[in-house]
Amino acid sequence: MTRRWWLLRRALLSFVALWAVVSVAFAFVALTDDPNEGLIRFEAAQTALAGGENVSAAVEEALRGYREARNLDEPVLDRYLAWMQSVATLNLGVSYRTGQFVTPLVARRLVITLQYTLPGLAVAVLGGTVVGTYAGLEDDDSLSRVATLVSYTTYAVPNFWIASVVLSVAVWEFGILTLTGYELDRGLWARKNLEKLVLPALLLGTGLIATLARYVRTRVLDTRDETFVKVVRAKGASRPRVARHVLRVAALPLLSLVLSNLLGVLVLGVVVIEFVFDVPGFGLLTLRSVQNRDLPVIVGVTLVVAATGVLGTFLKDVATTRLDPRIDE
Amino acid sequence: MNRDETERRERGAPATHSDAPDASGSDDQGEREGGTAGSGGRTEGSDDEATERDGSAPRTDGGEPDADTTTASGSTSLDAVTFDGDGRAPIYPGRRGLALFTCLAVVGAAFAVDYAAPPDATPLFGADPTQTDWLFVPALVCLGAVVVPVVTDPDRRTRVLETCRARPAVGVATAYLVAFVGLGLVGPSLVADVTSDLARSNQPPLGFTAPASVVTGCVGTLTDAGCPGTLQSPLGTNRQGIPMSVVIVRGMRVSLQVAVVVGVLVVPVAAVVGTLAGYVGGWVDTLAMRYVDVQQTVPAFLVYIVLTYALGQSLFLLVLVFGLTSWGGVARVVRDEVVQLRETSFVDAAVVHGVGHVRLVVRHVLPNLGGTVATAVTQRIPAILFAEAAISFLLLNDTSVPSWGLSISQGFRAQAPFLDIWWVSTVPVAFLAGTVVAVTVVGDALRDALDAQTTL
Repeated sequence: MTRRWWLLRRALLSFVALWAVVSVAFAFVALTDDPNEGLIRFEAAQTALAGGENVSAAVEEALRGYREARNLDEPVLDRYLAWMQSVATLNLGVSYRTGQFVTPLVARRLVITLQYTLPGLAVAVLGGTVVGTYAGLEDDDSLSRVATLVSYTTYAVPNFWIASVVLSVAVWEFGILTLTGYELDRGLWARKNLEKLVLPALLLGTGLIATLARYVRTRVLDTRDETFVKVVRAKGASRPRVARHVLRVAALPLLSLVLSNLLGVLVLGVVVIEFVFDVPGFGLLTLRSVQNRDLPVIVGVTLVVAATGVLGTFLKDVATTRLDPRIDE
Repeated sequence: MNRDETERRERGAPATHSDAPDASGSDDQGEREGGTAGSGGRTEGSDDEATERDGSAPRTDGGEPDADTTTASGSTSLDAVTFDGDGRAPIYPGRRGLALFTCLAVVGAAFAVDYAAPPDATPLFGADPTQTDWLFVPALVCLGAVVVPVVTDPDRRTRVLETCRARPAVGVATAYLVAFVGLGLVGPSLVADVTSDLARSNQPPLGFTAPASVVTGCVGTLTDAGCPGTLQSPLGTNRQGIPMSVVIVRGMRVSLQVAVVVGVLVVPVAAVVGTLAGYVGGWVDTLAMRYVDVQQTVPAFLVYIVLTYALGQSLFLLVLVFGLTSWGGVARVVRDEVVQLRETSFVDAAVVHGVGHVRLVVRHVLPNLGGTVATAVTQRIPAILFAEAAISFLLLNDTSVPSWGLSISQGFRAQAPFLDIWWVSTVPVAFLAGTVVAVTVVGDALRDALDAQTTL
């Protein structure tokens, strides 16, 4: 099998995966009872009672109007096709809560989140690789032991607690009130808004260093006793050079490991960090949409995460073809 | 070949007992079979045999006893898993398996009784189990099926104790986990009658003082420095006046439930999917692993909060979702291990003897997966504990569940500076961190001991 054919097959499978996720999302929307209907019933009944009208008729009328407005009265197959079409054209409807279009809303909030997660991830990947490689290659060294100990500890302390402590101490003990207060009206690239993202980026990044360092260390420990590493060492290569050789081989399993584990950690981390710092990004949007039972937004954020995951898996496949020559066989 | 087997058995020794009950229960069965165990002399041609693993393949060496292999191994328990000369002995569960099934049946009966009874009746001697308890109790029984053989078998017990002695960190972590499980099990019922006491809120821990402004009804003698902590509540009390020690014990039960139930849900699914993918191979393998890819693209946390939209927030939903969506990584590790196991000489030997697919998997493959599965699951527990704490911290869990995450959030939600009531959030964080470190250390020790797949 040639590389191109293999990649093509993987791309096709990625599309199937996306289709499956979108279909499951539809099934969820279509098959679960709509909790908003209870509210509609209640409100209709109340107005009917106040106006002295026929209660059950008014409730039926309100429900019919509600379902018609959301196309819930059409056959399931038609709704499914309409759903696939709208998802394919990135039209996810409007938020029940605010009436905004979901796609631009999610996109805008996603930008805010990426503004601090990407720098944070860069810090994490760099720090995690350095610490993990060092701890793996020099595991008898006392500095390495310290690094391992520190990474165990920071791994074990939840970042939402650290974030809350930092914020509470800054506000109450030092009177710093500027750490929170992101304002959407200022625009995404306003200096004042970007300043609010520095601490989230740092906390997210340092929180992930420990996790990544542990992965890297395990992989390096596995690889470092291989013959080619001994040869490189015997040739008198410097430490960074040895590390480079080891990392090149350890990179692929690491990549798939990190990709399959990172997304879950990242989504939870983003929600928590944005909750603590009150940053109106993707995580807070997710949280609020769940709290407000705003289904179109819930579906929108879920699809974004799933699409990111599928894309990440595909990119991993691409990287595999680049890094692992055995794929040709 | 014989050396290979011995090594594999030694590495995977606890494995036999941490996986399927069938495996651990079949020891006595295996001893009887030892006499008819086949030899390794026939493996030369096994490459061809391995490719056409046909259940009806002719048995080449079925009844021939070979005393050499059995005596050379020096241990009768060795034969239980690695040799299968007859290929016909039934694979029914042994004593332990029966005990496990009996326990599960009792739990099932209790559930039926409770389910059939009217809602307000308590047919189970006054106990009123929640939905989560009905997952937790059978999960505990399964956990017991894994732990009991290790504790009762002198060989294994010695080995565990030796590891603990050689590596103090592992010893401490194991001791902590034993205390954690014990307290989590019996603790909450010991402190069941402790209720909130608003006249005693925010007492500081022993050895610390708190500003008088945050404390109500200081138990110690109030000084200029503030209210000192007392022996009455050595870890302090929270805003509701509940001692932190009680908060910790109740939270232990929650964390224990999450860890045990998720672990016990993950193991069978991961074992079945991973074994099928690795053993059958081909399109089954591709399909299963691509499904795992897709499943991993949607984090369990997201699935949980989406499902709360329709089903409401509950601990039951949380453990169910995390249990049913977290097995992907474990299944992948199992699959890789099975692919490697298929290449081993003892599997070849079994194939040569005409052992059928089912028997081959149940007697020769599954028992050797125990270590891999145990390690992989242990390595996933910390992330799940964190996720539960974070979900409770965000108030996305049922807020009547006394989770550590909920207590952490109370330390910040109260309109008081963190430093004035630091213990309300820091004490549960310390225990959460301790639990996570202990699980990680024991998991790493397991991995080192079993030399399992190092994939995290």
